[in-house]
Amino acid sequence: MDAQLEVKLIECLDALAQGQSVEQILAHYPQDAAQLRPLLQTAVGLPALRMEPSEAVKMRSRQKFLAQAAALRQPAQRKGWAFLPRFATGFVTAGLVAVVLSTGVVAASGSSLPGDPLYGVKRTVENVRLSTSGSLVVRDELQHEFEQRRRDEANKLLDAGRESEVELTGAIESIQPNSWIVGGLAIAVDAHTSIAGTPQINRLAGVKGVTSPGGLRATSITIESFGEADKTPEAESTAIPEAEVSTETPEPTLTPASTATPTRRAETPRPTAQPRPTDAPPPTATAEPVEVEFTGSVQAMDGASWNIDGTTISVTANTELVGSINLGQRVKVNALRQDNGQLIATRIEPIDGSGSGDGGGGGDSNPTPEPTENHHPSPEPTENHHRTPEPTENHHPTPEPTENHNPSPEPTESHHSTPAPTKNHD
Amino acid sequence: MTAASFAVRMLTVPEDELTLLARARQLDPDALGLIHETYYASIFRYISFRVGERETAEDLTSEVFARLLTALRDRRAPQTTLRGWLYGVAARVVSDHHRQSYRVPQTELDESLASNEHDPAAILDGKLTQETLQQALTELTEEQRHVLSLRFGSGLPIQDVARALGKTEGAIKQMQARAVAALARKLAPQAVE
Repeated sequence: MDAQLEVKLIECLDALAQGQSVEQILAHYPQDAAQLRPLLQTAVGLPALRMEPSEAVKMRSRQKFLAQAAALRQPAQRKGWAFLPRFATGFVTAGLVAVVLSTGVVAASGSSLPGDPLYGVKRTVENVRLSTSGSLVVRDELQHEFEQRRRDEANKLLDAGRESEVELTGAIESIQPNSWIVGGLAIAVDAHTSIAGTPQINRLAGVKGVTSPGGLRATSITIESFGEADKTPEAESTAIPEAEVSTETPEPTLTPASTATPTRRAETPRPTAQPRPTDAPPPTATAEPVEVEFTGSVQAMDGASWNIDGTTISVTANTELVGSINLGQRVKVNALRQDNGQLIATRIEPIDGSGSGDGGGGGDSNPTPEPTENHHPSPEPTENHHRTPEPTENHHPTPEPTENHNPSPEPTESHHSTPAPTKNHD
Repeated sequence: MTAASFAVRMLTVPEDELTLLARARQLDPDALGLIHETYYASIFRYISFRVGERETAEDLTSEVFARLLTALRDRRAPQTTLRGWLYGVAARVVSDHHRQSYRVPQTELDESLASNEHDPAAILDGKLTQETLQQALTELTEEQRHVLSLRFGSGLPIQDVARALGKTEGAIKQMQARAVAALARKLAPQAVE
C-alpha cells in the first residue's frame, strides 16, 4: 500500500469511526474507491467478532475477584491482637518488643530451630514485627523474609537429621504421586496427608509436616486459591487429577486450565522404584522445560532413575554429578521439569555438612550404591531405603543405551494404580 | 461531546487512576471492585474478539483479573497505567491460550481462509464470516492483532488506545490502517492489490 493510499485509508477509518457508511465515505474518494472498498468492508466486519459479557458471569467474576483479594489481605490482618483497639495494640507490642529486646534473648533465638527452647521467642518476635509494621509493603517483605526462614529451618533440620514439626510456605514446583516439591524442598505426601485446595504447579502451598532422618513428610497442605498465574498455564496440567486428591475445599479454577485438556495427567503417575526407564529420557515435552531446584536425601539410585525423598528424577549422561554422592546423602538437585512433569536432573550436588550416607538416609546408611543394575519389582517404594548397594567411592550412573527397558516416555511398570498420593515414605 | 458520552468516558477512563491504583495496591476492596466494574466488559470484549468463544473468553477475562491480584501481591502491579497493563496482560493470556490450543489441534485444519482468498466477492459484498475473519486475524502480527482488538474489540477510541500503548494518536492510526490493510490482503489478496 503506497503512502498516499495509506493516508486516505486513515481518513476513511476516522470517518468510519464517526459513524459514516462505507458508501458515504467512498463518495469522497471516487478515484480510489475500488482499492479502499475491500479495506473498509474488512474494518466494518471486525466489530462482529466481539461479544458482550453476560451480566451474571460478570458478577460471578467480581465476587471471585474480591474473594481472592480478601484471601490475600488475610495474612496482613491483625489476628491475635484483634480484640484490642489499634492504639492499644501499638502500646502493647512496643512494650513487648522493649522487654524482649532488653533481655538479649532475641539475638540468641535468631538461629534457633523448631523444637529448640528459644524457637518460640523467635516466632513471637517475628509476629510482633509483622503486627507493628506500618505499611502493607513492609509487611509483605517481612512475610516473604519469614517464609524463607521457615524453609531454611526445615533444610537445617533435615541436614541435621532432626525430628521436628515444621511449617513452611512455598510455590509448588513438582507434583509426583508420593512427593511434591514445595519451595525447593522435596516433601513426602501420603494417604494421611490432608490436602486442601487444588494442587497445581506454581500455586502457593502452606505445608505442615514433620522432619526426620528420612526426610520431610507432609501432614497437611493448604493450597492458595490461586497461584503465580503469570506463569504459562500449560505447565499446570501436570498436576495430579484434582478429583483424585483429597481436596477438602476445592477452589474455583481461575486459570485457563479449565479449558485445557487434562489428558496429560495420565502421564504423571510414576513409580518411585522402577527399572531403569531410559538412557536419556525422550524429550517429549512440547513446552519449554522449567528449571527446578530442590533439596532432599538420596533414597534410591536405580540407574537412570533416582529417588530424592520420594521425588523421582531422571539422571542422564548429561547430568553433572558433583563429587561423591551416596545413598542417604542430602543433595541439591537442579532439574528441568518437562511438560509431562518428569524431572530431568542437570546437576546433583551434595550439601555440605550432610552425612554421606551417615544417618541421613531413612534407615539405610550404606554408602555408594551400585547404581545401575538394580531392578526392584517390588511395588513398595519405601523399600528403596533397604537396598544394600555395592560400596564404591564414586558412581556416576551413566545410563547404558542398551538397557533401555522402556522406550516409551512413560514408565510402564508403575506400581501405582492410582496417581493419588498414597504411599508413606516413613 | 454530549453529556452522556462524557459520563461514559469518565467511567471508562478514571481520571484519578493513580489514586485508584494506590488504593488497589493496598488491596482496598472498593478500589478493586471499581477496577473490575470499570474494565471487565472492555477486557471481555477484547478477549472475545481474539478467541471467538464465549466460555473461553469468560475464563480468560477472570484470569486477567487474577493476575492483577498476583501482581499486586508481588508488588509488580502497574504504577501509572492500569488500562495499558490490563490490556497487556489480556494479550499475554490470549497468547498463552492460543499456544496451548495449537499444541493439541482439536479440529481439522480450517480451510476457509484459503478458499476465501480465491473468492473476493465475500469481502467486497461485506459478507465476511466471523470464522474467516478470526482465522485471518491469527495471521497478523501480535501488534496488529492487539491494535485491532483494542479498536474494534474493546471499542476504544484512538486516543485511549494511544494512551494504553504509550504511543501517539497518529502512530495508532497508522498502525490501525496497516493492520486493516494486512487483514484485507489475507482475506482477498487479489481484491486489495
